[in-house]
Amino acid sequence: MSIATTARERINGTLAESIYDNPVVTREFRTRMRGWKAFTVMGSYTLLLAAFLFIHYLSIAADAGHSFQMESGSLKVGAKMFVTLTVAQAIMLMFIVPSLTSGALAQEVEKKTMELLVLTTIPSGKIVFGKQFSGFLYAMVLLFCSAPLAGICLMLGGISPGEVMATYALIAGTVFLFAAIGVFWSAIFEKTAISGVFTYGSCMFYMFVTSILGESAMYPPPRSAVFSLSLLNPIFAAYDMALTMTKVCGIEFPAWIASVATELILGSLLLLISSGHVRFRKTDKTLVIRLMLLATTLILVWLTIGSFPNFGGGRWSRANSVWEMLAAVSSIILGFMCIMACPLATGEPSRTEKSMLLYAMSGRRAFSKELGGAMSFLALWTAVVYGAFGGTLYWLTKVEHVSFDPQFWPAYLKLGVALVMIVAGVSAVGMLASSIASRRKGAAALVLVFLAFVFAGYTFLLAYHQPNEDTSAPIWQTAALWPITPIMAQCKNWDRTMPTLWWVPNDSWLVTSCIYVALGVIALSIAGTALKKFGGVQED
Amino acid sequence: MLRIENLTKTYGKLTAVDNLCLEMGAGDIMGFIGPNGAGKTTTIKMITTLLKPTSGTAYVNGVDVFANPEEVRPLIGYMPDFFGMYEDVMVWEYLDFFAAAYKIPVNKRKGTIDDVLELTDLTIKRDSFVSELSRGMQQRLCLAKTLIHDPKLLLLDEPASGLDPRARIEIKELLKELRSMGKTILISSHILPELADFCNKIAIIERGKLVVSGDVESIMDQCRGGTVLKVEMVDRQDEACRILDNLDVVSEVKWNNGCVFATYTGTPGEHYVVLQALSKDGFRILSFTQAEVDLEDIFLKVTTGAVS
Ligand SMILES: Nc1ncnc2c1ncn2[C@@H]1O[C@H](COP(=O)(O)OP(=O)(O)OP(=O)(O)O)[C@@H](O)[C@H]1O
Ligand SMILES: [Mg+2]
Repeated sequence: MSIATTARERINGTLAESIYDNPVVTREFRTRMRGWKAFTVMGSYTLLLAAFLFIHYLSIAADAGHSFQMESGSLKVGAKMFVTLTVAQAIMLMFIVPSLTSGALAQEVEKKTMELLVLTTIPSGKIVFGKQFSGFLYAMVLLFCSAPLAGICLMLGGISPGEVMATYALIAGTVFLFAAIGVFWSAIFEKTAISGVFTYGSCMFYMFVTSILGESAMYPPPRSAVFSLSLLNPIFAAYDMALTMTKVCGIEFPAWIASVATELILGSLLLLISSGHVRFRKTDKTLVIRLMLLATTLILVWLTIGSFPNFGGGRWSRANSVWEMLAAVSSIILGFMCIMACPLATGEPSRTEKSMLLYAMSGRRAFSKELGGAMSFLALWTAVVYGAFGGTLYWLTKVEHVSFDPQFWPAYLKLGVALVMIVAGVSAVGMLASSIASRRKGAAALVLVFLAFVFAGYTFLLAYHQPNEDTSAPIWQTAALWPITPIMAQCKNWDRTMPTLWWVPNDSWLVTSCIYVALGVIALSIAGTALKKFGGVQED
Repeated sequence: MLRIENLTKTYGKLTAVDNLCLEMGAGDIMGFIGPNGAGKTTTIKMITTLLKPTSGTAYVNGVDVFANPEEVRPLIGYMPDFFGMYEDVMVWEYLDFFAAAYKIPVNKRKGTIDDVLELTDLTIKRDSFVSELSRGMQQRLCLAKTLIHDPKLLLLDEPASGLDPRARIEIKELLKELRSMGKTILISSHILPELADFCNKIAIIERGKLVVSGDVESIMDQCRGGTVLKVEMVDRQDEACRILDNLDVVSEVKWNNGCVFATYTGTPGEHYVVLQALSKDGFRILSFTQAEVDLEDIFLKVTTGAVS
């Protein structure tokens, strides 16, 4: 036996290598493609689709007999059948793909093969990617099986090869994301049954939410602000939308590219997070996850604000919509902040710092792998996204020759301050949670419980206090608990439904900032005491 | 090769491994013995980097296991007590998977796989599916997998558990072959005679604490204070017992099944005096041997038998 593998001899896994020589992919494919199983699946998949198409064709043909529009051009049989093909295919894949990957890692744990896999020198990224990619590839094989049927639609007319290609790319993008979702849940949970439920749930939720986006983009004008993302749900590609162009910041490009790119980035982000869950390793990927989340938010904000001119058919007709846009983008930032507060809780405060506040705000640690500097990082992150948003907006006013309400920029600044403060407050809660809970999942759950509590409390207050322009409510009723208060205050139609306070609604940013700063200081001091008490030692 | 320093693991209030210190040189075969729940598996899992210790550390080939787990993994071959197998692949595909996972270059994989199959006597099963192998064969396949990246240190957690006597002997033969290849092996078990003839070191652990450790012979002497001589004879065993009992160099005598067992405590290498004492009286002796190394006795002597 002459085998030479030393620890130092590790090749850095390039993308090509992790696909070509990835034992996980090889093994999955060996078992998946062996014997008649694969052919049976492919055969029935294609036959089922063909049956759908045939029935649809028969009904079109029957209709055509009674129709007065007999000219072949207006009939567009191919286009109609392509809708059936795409819808049927998307739905079938939505059920098939989760079943391919939702057991990926959980199954290894259940069958007790995980330990042996984890002890090999294969990087965890490669394991996770291999699991996801083998599921993705199998679904691609199925997708190609349906290509002849798409060919028939092409021949029947009404649809162009470009549209077919774009639709297939969109389906592939969604399949990539779904496969990643399956791997993600199977890395989080050690039971295949649970990860299966979560995977199917997430995929259906995704299809549902994106269908709202698609729906809103279907009937122009006015088109939704998130028009560039309307093709996240591939079903809508079939409805004559596959090749629609979108205009982001004055640059025009096909909307499907934006959707596919978003799905690829989201999928990769999920894979990255999963790879941190695969084994006991010294380093974690907190920094990379932080940066990826930053990139994702930037892209979403950019696509949202950038496609703004789509409003009202290219003109910024309503002054109010600028304010609505501001609210929308701020909500995206806040939403991501909630997600961020959880990864925040994943680091381990490895040593007891003299002052928790200094530790949390340490600029030097902002980009290190541990918890330290988390607050500076999050504040910085909010400032960057918010700044990019402002810059884009400013640039657009120049390009589109629109002038804003003079109040806009001061309000923008105030909102920015409030957002940074809220972020600081919630991240302090995240740090508190991770100093109390001994496990990452526990800490993340604590943060989520906190946020849920805040939101529920505010909803309760709103319901209790019937907002009326003329009455003034006592302070305790409107304690500006809800992080979105200042955002909504900036929205012109919302200032009337705001509970009236002794302060002007527009100044709620100040109160909110103060409350969250206070919250942050309290949380950090408790966290500091907790760490001192338990000596900063964390159980695995 | 392996140095364990004050390794401790607690689960809540239970201390599964308590301040364990061990040392193994290159080429050592150490039997790691203890009753159920003693903490053998926990210790081995910590050495493999699968489990984080509460405190203490271990070094494999001078590398700190917990500071650099990535560097340690290629050095060790671990065979768990309970393991699963990918059942829907062939034997060679299973090994190919691990060969690739350990980054063995593509052109060397086939040769390596053939080598380990040969070693574990599975060559004829090369193209069978893993699910079609018997339990013993699966165990050997797991051992083959453990050897595929030519690790310096083998950590075998009860490799023979659940096997029939024949399969046990086969595994034992295999381990002897590995010993002759110069590997360092830590092998855990609670079935003691199994380890007797090929371990050169023994560590006995109970309730997480190390009871004794060291060379097999020295531990035996320490525990028993002498070698046992076995005299097989046709008749008059009780008479022989009486005679032997009177000798100074014999501390304890008993007999059953026609054999007399005498514990010799005199100068090592001079136990012929016992035979001389018997032959004077014309006893009809069939054989005179040193009794098999009986670790079971040591075990019972050293441990209190309590399960933690
Ligand atoms: N995950 C765990 N959580 C809590 N306690 C555990 C865990 N794993 C092991 N233990 C406890 O640690 C102690 C040592 O267990 P371990 O598996 O190391 O024993 P062992 O020596 O391998 O026993 P056996 O001979 O039965 O394999 C036992 O008391 C067991 O109950
Ligand atoms: Mg055990």
